Amino acid sequence: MLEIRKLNKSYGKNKVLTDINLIIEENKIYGLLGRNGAGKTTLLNLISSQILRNSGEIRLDNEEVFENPKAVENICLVKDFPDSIKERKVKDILALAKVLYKNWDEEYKNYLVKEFNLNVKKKLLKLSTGNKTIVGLIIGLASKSRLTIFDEPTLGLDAAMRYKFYNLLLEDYEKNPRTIIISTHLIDEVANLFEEVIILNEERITLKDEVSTLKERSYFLSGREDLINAIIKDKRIIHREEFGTTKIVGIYGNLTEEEIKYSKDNNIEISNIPLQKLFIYLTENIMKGECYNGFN
Amino acid sequence: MDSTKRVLKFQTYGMKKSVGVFWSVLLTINIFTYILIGYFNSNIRIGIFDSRTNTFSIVAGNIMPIFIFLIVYGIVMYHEDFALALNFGVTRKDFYKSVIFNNLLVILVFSVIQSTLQVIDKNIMGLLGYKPMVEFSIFNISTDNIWFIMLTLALLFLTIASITNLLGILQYRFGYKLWIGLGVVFTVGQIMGNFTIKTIIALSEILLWLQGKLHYPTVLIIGFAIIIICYILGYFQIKKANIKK
Amino acid sequence: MLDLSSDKSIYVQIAEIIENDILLGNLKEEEQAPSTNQFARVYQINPATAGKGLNVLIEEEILYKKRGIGMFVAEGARKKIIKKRQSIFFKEILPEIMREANRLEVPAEEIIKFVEEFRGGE
Repeated sequence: MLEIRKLNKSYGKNKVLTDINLIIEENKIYGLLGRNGAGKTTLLNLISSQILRNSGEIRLDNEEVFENPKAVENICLVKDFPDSIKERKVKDILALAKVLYKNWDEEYKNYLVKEFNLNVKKKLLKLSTGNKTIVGLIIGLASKSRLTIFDEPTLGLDAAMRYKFYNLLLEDYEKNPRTIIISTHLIDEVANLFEEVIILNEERITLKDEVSTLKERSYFLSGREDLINAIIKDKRIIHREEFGTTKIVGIYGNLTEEEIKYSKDNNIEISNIPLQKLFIYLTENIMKGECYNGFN
Repeated sequence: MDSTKRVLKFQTYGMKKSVGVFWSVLLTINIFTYILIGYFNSNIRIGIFDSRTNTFSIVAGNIMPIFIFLIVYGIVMYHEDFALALNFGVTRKDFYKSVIFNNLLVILVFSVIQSTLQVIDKNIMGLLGYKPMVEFSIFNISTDNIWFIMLTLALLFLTIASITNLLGILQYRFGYKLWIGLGVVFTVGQIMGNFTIKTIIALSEILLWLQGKLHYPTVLIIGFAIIIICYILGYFQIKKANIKK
Repeated sequence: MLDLSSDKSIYVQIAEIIENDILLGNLKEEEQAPSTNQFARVYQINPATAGKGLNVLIEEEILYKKRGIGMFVAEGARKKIIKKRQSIFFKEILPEIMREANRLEVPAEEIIKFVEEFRGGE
């Protein structure tokens, strides 16, 4: 559905994205993870034509996206509102969204406004941070755009509101599937919504995998150093730690049956790496694994 | 095309309100001034007073507010509507087309209203016992056709609008740096011996000379030239515009 | 219930939830299993993840698909599950216990005695 090839973006001398290659398939929910300043927002802005790229292609249904009305009208990016429109009333902003999004569902928007208990007569700047975010969420959901992107959709939302959003998102996704990309920091909470996860680190995509595969391909090995070293030679090591005389090593990759048996026989404990930690390791500068560089 | 229609609708959404408010206020001031002068015999000269010919027009003073309106309108267009439209799935090209269309609509409305006012003004000033100002270098209210006046005013307003549109885009792209840049240019010009004033005088003299030779068509040509150049420059600038945070 | 922070992948847990229901008799043969969307709604997960879990069971012939209707418990599903779990019991669970017993230097005879008493007591 969406194909990105050799995308590069710099702000002046500051390189933000290098050689990004990505395929986004139709009607899947993707998570976009990365540290602060890793370039997530830049990537999303590039996809939705908000900013200009230095080089590379972005194609929707095999048509270049930039300045292409047919492509751009199918993409909805939900992000922080620009300061300039904060003087407007919420209902006016929603009315404008209705005019511009060709698949806009007015009834659904009314339903969402009620669900979130939003006072639409207020000016945008008079709303709390959470409610400002909710306006964006409502627009994203009601737009029914074939590609809907949420950039940090949980800013300022308490847990109850966040879960309400996840529920509504899944509810609509069930009835009317669409391609969704969510960029977030709250990995543990949102990981279950994703079918695939994309990690952006140091200007590049360092991982793109199914969430379930992520869990199955990451392990902590802890035990005696010399024993562990025997089986980690060809593995992608993402973390090292010492705990007394015990060595703890985090790896990303598969363990063969023999390696598992070897570990059990040599008192090497194998455990899973929690997603939050896994994410931190995969985006730490210390251990650079190979970059994800191609179509899968 | 469907997407173009949607952008046009988006444009006209807020336009009615701002145009309506502007003219309500302006007309109120005009009427208020008429009452002041006519009923209360005040000596206030709100409007344009030409001491050489001793003629007076209240409504001609509207030109300044209109000018300011167009500047603000141009800047707000990009400061607010551009960012919003692009965020909601509009291309820069479609947006720009809608801006030009919107500009045309606005200046047509303005020129119809203002030219009508000028004609009314001529009659009211006469009734109030003043000599009405009728000679404006590019048209004459007494002798010229109302349609001619409307079109001429439309041309004038469109020229201003094309310039303010370009200014709006440059302001959005370069922010305060634009105004600093312009300020620097003029200051440097001032330092280099009253460059600014000399240029304006020189340009006006050229215009007047040309006008003397060819009268109406010159203004038309120059007007169209400015309009076309400004809108084209604007398009090239907007194609490269990034949406700011 | 789903344990989101567990070592096991979510789709594996989904498969186990259904297996447990079949084992306990809550879900009988030829009855319909919950749909992917129902799973998604109740556990707040991506329906594709739930689908993956259900597909695992289809591959193992514990569930089968009725086109356009949904997924149903296959004949002999309960027996298959017991066989599968017994295999895991002997391949993974028991060996782990034995390794622990060795680490703690528990003699084999004591273990056998324990098993006999435990079984006898039931």
